Amino acid sequence: MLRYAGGDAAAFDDLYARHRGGLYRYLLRQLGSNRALAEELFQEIWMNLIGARSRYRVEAKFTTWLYTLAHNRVVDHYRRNRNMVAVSLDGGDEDDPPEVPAPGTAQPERIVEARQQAARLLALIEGLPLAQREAFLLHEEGGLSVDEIASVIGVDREAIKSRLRYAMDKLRGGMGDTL
Amino acid sequence: MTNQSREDSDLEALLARRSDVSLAWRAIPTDEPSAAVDDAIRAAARRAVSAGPQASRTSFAVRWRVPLAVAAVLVVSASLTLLVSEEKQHLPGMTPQDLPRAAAPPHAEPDAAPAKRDEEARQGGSSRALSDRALPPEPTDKAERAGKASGAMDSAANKVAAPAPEATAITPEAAAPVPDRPASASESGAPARNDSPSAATDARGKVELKEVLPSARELPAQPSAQSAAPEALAKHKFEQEKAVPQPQEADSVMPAAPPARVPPQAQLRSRAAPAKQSPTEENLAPAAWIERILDLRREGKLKDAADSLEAFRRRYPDYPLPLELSAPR
Repeated sequence: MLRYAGGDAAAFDDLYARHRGGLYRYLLRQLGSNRALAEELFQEIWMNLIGARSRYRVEAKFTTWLYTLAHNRVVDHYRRNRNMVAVSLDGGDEDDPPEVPAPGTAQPERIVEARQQAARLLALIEGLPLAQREAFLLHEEGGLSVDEIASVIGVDREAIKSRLRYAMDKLRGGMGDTL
Repeated sequence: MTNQSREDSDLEALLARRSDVSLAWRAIPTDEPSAAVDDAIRAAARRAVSAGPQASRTSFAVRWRVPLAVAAVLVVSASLTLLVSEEKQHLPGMTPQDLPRAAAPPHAEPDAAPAKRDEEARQGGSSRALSDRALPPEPTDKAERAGKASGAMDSAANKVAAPAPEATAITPEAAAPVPDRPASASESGAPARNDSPSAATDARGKVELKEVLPSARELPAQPSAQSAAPEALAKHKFEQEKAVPQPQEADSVMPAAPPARVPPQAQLRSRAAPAKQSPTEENLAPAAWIERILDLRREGKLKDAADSLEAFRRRYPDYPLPLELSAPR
């Protein structure tokens, strides 16, 4: 990022190639697999990054900074469209029962076992509370550690660990014996 | 294994990406943004980089706006200060510090002694000392008074703004402060005419002091006088030669040569009163005129010599006469 801020356009290509997939999937899963919306926010985030390149300071990993921009953009999106989601972004609903569909109900036609498993896992992810889902996605797609996730979301690391534990339990319980 | 310890191990496995959930998640076919989005973002990134230098140029202008403005103000101020100071040097109202430089004759600059003498005369009426140096000592009370008066006038001239030498040669009114210095003896109580030899000596001493004044105020007829009567001019410019070494000049006979200079008052008088003498005498320089009077005497034309001398005195009342002419006959 420093090279790109210094005027090296090729450095941006490397940066983009490294993070484009993970960021896009993070957005896609956070936005309910809405591809159009995910691409719109994805583009906005990168444009913001391009515009803010001169203000970039090496205070944390670039990945942390990038996913912070993405997190803020998702939060803005949900705040503008409150009617689209009824759950709080900051979580706190760890005690709520996860609305994981029962095995066999999400994909009635099981053609291939692998595809069934993937689809079920995606359904389980979408059924997770937003805070748990975000912590899980930041870890799996962004490759962030507990501390980095805490930094991106703005909560302490114990809360992140708690969210990850709840997410693991729900996913594992939802997958049943298919894992 | 307790429930808590099992959760901790599951979390560690998840963080290490070794858990069954992580493996199942990575088995899901990956979704990618469309190629159009990729192209749009990369193009925007390149545009931003190419537009970067323009932004930096703008920021350069903004950053250096104030220092450049300050520098421009300083340059303009310094230029104006220099300009004003140069203009002041050419103005009539010069400061007393400027006067010695302006009053110093150009021909006296190579020789420091005349300038020093002039400075001494300005500082305290030391014209007598100057006369003693230049002439055989013949001090009289009148000469002392004249010297003191001259010193006083010179001191006063230091206080008065000195006009430019060019202006003194053209307009006597404008030249009043500085031209008064040569005529200071007559205007400060000293005899206007040299009736006695001692007075003549005194006047010669004064003349010697006057010699250090700018030659630009001298009579324009001086060059013609030099060509007309070189011997007489050599006699009368003895002191001038002493002040400004001129190797081509011959040794002098006259002890103290008066300068071929006419005060502006005399110029005014000569312009106002019609001349009774012949045009040839009027056109002569003082030294040549005196030589002509002496010739008339030698030829025995005493009446003509007396008339010519009277005319000369009217024309040049302050001009010091030789001893043989200043003595009454």
